[in-house]
Amino acid sequence: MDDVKSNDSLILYIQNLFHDSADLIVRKISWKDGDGIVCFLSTMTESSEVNKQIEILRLRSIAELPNWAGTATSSVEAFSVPKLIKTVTNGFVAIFFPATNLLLTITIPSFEVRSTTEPNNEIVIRGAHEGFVESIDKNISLIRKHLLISDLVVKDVKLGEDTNTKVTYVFIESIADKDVVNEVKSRLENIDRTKIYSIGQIEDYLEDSLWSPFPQFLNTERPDRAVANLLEGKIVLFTDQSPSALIAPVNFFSFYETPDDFNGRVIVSSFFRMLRIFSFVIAVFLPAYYIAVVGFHSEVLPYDLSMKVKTAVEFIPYRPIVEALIVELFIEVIREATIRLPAPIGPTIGIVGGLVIGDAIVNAGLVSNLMVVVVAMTAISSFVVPSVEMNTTIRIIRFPFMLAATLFGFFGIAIGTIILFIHLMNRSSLSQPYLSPVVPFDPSRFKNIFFRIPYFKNHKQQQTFTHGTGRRKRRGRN
Amino acid sequence: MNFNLSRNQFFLILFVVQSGSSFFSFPSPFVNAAGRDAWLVFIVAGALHYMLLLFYERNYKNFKIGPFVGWLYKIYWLFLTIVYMAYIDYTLAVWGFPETPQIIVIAVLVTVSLYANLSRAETVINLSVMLIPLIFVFVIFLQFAWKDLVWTNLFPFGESTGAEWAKGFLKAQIAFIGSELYVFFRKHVDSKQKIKGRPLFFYQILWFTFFFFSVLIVILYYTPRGLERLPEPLLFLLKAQEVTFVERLDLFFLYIWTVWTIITIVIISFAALYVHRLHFNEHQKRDTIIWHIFLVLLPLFFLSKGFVEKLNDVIIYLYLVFGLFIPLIVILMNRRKQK
Repeated sequence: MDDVKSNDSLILYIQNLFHDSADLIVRKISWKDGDGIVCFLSTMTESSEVNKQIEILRLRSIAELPNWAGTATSSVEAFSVPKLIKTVTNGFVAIFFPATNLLLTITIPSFEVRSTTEPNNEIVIRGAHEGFVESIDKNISLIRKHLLISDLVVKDVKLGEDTNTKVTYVFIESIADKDVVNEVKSRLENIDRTKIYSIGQIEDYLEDSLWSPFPQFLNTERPDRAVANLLEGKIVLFTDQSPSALIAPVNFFSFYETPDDFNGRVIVSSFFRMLRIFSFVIAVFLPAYYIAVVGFHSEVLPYDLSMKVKTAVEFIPYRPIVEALIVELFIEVIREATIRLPAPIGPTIGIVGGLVIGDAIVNAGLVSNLMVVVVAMTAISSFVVPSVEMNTTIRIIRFPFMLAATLFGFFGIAIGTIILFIHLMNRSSLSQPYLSPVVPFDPSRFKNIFFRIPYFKNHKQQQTFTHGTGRRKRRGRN
Repeated sequence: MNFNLSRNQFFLILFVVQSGSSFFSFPSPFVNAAGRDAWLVFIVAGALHYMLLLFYERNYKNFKIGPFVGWLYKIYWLFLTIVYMAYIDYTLAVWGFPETPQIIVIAVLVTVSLYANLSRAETVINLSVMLIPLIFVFVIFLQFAWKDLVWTNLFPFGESTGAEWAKGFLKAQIAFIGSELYVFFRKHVDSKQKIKGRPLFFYQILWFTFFFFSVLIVILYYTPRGLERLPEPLLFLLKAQEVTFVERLDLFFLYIWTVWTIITIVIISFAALYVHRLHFNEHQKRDTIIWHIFLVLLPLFFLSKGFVEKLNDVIIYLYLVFGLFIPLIVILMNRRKQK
């Protein structure tokens, strides 16, 4: 009678632990050496499998098999309340035997995972049309599907006492720089925070320079991109419940490469790669150049063009910087609106915003039509970069250039360019130089910035950048 | 300060400092001083430059300086950067910012140097890389003057007097300024990379070709009398070029030159701070900031045209002291000590 009473109170205790959650199942089951208490979350566990697995284990126990609890999906260990909570919240089935103080764990979780569809923010024309999903296991399987080698190492770290989030880093043992792998491991282990729930948090902790506008991790949802980077000796990180993978160490030019380059024809891919690099120049410098020309150096333009510019800006009441800011702000607002709106309405807002309002503000004399052309070209150029993070960075860094051009014309742009160059040289990704292979100069990889080299010419296995260069101590940021 | 240089980085630093500020302003005083045989004078000066480099290469290990010589070099480089700063500021005031207070332009220039020198040594070392494409663009656009070159301007040669040759040699030293960094930075070059022999000769050829080209193009483009009135003949040459996409090509190159000068100032400041840290290694950040405060304030006293010209004349003599005389004395003394 006392046993029954104590089992009932245990059930109540467990129910209280989970605040009487509706999806919590706590039942008493009979076992060979006394009763057990089975406990699991019905929303996270394959309920139809629970009875089958329990039955198998019960028979093994009755048959008194040595290590009866050790099967492919189950294990037994000493009971403790934190272990019970961890087991249940992970979607496993926990069976507690009060008589022996053992906790039997059966691994049959069931999570809803969406199918692998092509990521919307990384569309390619030629290449695989599958993307990562919100499950690490499925993401790792997508990578393993491409790389049938034993050298592919998958390491797990659990972060956050409250969230117990699984962070996985993947690398190819024979190619990845061991120092870089150790660096990742040590940085992950030094994260001391109770709640870790997104890949962005991990990125904050792992980045070398958090206050730089330039991303130091490549963010991708494409398995083929992750695999290509793994084969270059880089490390890929995942967090559970996130479809994005972080790739590092990367350099500035990594953000301008896309899987299309490697599936397209050599000349065509090289042309588009150069076009993307050129688009960076347009996206950052064009509005500043226009402001400098209108405000300081109209004499640099050929006479006919100069006359057109003067005619266009003659009746505009604002200075070029104000004009530029009006149109830039307008474009940013439209962009933000089209992202947030449902897919069927987004393009409509783009058309209404871009064409109707754009035409109206020119007719109203608020901005010149040339400024609209300049800012539109700039916006389009910034969208050419196949990385969302670098895209946003480029959109931000053109504002200081516009300000510099307003204050000092070409001189301001020249000064801004040197400062940008110094800033990029000071940056690193997992302690590897960010401007590699330009600085430090590596002739063997320099051409890869502009050209997609034919595969049969790629004899040299790329290791992780120039080992040891630009290495420096990272400040603690926990 | 501990840093390593590759052979290419070492030569690039030397090249940028040697050509940095003086490249645009060098041809005019040189050709005016050397007369019609300026190109011949420069060939001989080029040979002397190579001999100087060979001397440096042979003896750099014996170039060890104490705090006193260190201070002399710091003052020399401070003077050099002030002259460069005053010159570029004066040029910018003439060509671009007649209304802007000069202290603002100088402060902006110095801010860049401060940022670079507060960064890692590798940043300063590699900063010159951004000039490489600009130098190519510059040379390509100078080719546009090809059709206007008068090749008979080279003849007759052998007409310059002995005094003109002597003056020419003296003015040719402008192109040598900065070579003294060789004896300071040579020991930081990766010991596995060879400098002696072919690499050094290749650098000499590069340096010579670059300056000789500028001298030659100026002689071929301008008449001797026309050149006397032009302080920056290469900029005027670019101004005269007609291209379809821009009207004033020279303006772009004025700002390329500005970038070139800023990077030269960054490297010279780096060299001065490097020498300072050889003997006073504490308070690195504070010393860097103090150095740059000097760079902002001191050029303000030398901003008139007359001052800039006088300072440019003085630099040549200072170079002879710090590029040749002091290294010679220091090397000889150290060799004697070793014996």
